[in-house]
Amino acid sequence: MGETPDFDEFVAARSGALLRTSYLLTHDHGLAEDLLQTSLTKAWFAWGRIADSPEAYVRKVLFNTYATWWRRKWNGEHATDELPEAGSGDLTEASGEGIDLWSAMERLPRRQRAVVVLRYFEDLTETQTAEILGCSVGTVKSQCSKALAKLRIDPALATETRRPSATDPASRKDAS
Amino acid sequence: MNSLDDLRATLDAHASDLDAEAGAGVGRAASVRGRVHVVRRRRRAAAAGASAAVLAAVGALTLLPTGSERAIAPATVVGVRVPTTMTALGFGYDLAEGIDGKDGKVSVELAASDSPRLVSWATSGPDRGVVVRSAEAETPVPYRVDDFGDYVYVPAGSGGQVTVRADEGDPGLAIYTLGEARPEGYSKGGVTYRRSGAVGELAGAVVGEPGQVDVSFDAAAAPAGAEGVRFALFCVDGPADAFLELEVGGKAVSSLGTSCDGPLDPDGSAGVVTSFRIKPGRDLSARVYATDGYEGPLLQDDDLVLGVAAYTTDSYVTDVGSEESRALVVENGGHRWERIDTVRLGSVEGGERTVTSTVPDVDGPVLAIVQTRVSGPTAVEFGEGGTFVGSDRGNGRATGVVAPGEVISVTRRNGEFVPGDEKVVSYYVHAGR
Repeated sequence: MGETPDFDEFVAARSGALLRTSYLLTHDHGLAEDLLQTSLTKAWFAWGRIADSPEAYVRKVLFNTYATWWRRKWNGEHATDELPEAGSGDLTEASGEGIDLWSAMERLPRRQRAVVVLRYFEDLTETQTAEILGCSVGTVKSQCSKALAKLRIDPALATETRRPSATDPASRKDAS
Repeated sequence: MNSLDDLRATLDAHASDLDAEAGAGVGRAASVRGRVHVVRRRRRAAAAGASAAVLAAVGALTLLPTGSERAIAPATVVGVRVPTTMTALGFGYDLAEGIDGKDGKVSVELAASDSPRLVSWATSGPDRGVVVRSAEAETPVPYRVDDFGDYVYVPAGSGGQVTVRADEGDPGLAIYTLGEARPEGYSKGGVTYRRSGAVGELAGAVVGEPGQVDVSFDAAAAPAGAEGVRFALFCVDGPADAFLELEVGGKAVSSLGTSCDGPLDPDGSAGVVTSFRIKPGRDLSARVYATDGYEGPLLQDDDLVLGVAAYTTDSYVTDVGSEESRALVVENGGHRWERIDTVRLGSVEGGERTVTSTVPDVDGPVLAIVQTRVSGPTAVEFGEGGTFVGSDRGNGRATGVVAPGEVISVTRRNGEFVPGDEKVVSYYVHAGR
C-alpha cells in the first residue's frame, strides 16, 4: 500500500470530530466507529481528487452511508424480558412534556435524524444540509419539521444564533 | 415542551461524552488501512472472477435444458451429475445453470436478484476438498463434503461472486433459483411462515393485501410449557423509513423502525424478530400497523405489504452467562446450524482489554455468535479484516460466519473489562454435518 501521509494527518486531525458526528447519528460507540471507518475507507480510494477538501467529502459519505444502512449484522433479534400484560402502562408511549431528547432521537427515521444532526449540531444551513444529503431544500424543511414535532420541540423557542462549526468554510481551512 | 436550545445542549453533551480522540491517531488510520487492504483484495478477486466468468460463458458454460426436458436430460458439470432441485430450510430451489471450471477453479459473478439463490459445487476427482469464497462468510472457507452436499446461500436482493478452488482436479458449480416448493406453514403473497423450525412453533400468522397497512390475527393462548414468544414481522413495497407498531393481546408492546423498500424474502421468519418471555395462557393475538415515523399517522401506501407471525419457544433465557441462553440449533443466512461449542472469553476478574477465541477446526463454515453484557463500549471482530461489529454498554449480540482457525476478538474500546463483564462465543456448524 502506497504512502498517503496527508490521509493519515487528516485522520489524526479530524476523525475525532467526525466520530462525534457519527455517534450522534448511530447512538452507539461501536457503530459510530464502524460508520466513520467505512466512510474513511471510501475517502481513501478517492483521495487523489478530494485531498483539497476531504472533510466535506467524508462528511457527505458519512451521512449518506448512515442514511442508507439497512439491517447490518448488529441488528439481531430484539429481545425483551417480559411481554407486558394488558392493562399495564404503555411502554412505547412517550411523555408529551420534557421528553428525553436523546432517547426520542433514536425513534426518528434515519434521514430525519441526519437532518437534526446537520442542522443543530453541525449548524449547517438548510441549503448546506440539502447539499450533503443530496435532496432539495424543501425536503430538508419538511424532514426537519417532522423531526422537531416528534421531538416535542417548539420551533418558536429557538434561538437564531449559529455557532461556528468545523464545517464552516473558515473553520475547514484551519482544520486541514 | 422542549426548545431548540435543549436539543443543541443534548447533542453537545452526548458528543462531549464520547472519548472521540481515543483512536484518532495511528490506531484508526491503521484500521482504515486494513479495510483498504481488504477492499483491494476483494476487488482483485472480483476482477479475476469476472475474467473467469467470461471464459466460462465462452467455452465452459453448461446450458441446462429447461422445462420438462430437465427431468429426462440431466446435466453434468466436471463429469458429475447435477441434482435438479435442492432444498434450504424447507424451500425448494430449481437448477438454473451449471458451470465447468478449469485449472482447479471455477467462479461466477451473480447479478443482484429479487429472489434468493443457492450455489453448490462438485469436484472432478475423488478428493472433495475445496475452498469457497463468497459473501456468505467473512473469509474463504474450506469444505470437505460430497458433491453437491452443501451450498452457499445468496439472499434476496444480493448478488456477488462465488469462487470455488479444488484441492485436486477441477470444480464445477450449479446455480439454483427459488422454485415452487414451500415448507408447511402459513403462505400468502410469496411469503411463508413455517409451521416449525429453530425459530419456534407457529402460533398464528397473517400477511395483508397490498395497501393494507394494519393487519392482525387471533391466536390460541400460549400452550403449557411455552416460556417465550417470537414475533416475526416483515414489510415490502413501502418506504425506506417506516415504523411497525406491534400490539399483542390488545396491548402495545413494541415499536420498530425499519425499511420497507427491500426485496421480499420468502421466509417470513427471516424478517425483523422481537421476542419476549411469556407465561402459559397468555393471549398471543397480534396486530401490526405501519406508521409514518414513530407515533406518526398510519402510512398511506397502496403497495405496502405487511406480515406478522407468532412463534412460541420452550425456553427463554436472556442471561448471557447462562448455558441455557445459547440455543442448540439456530437458523442464519438460509442455513440451519447446530451448536458444537460455547466458550467464555477472558477471566471473570476482568483486567483484559482484548479477549480472543480461535474458531474450532472443522470442515466447513462456522457461525460464531458472540454475546456480551459489558460495562462499556465493545467491538467484535470476526477474523482478519472481518466485519467490525460494535456494542455499547449493556447486552450485545454479534454474528459472523468464518473459517476454522480464524480468531474472534472482543475488545473493550476505551479501557479494560471489569469483573462481571460477560463475553461468550458459541460456535455452530451446518446441521447434519
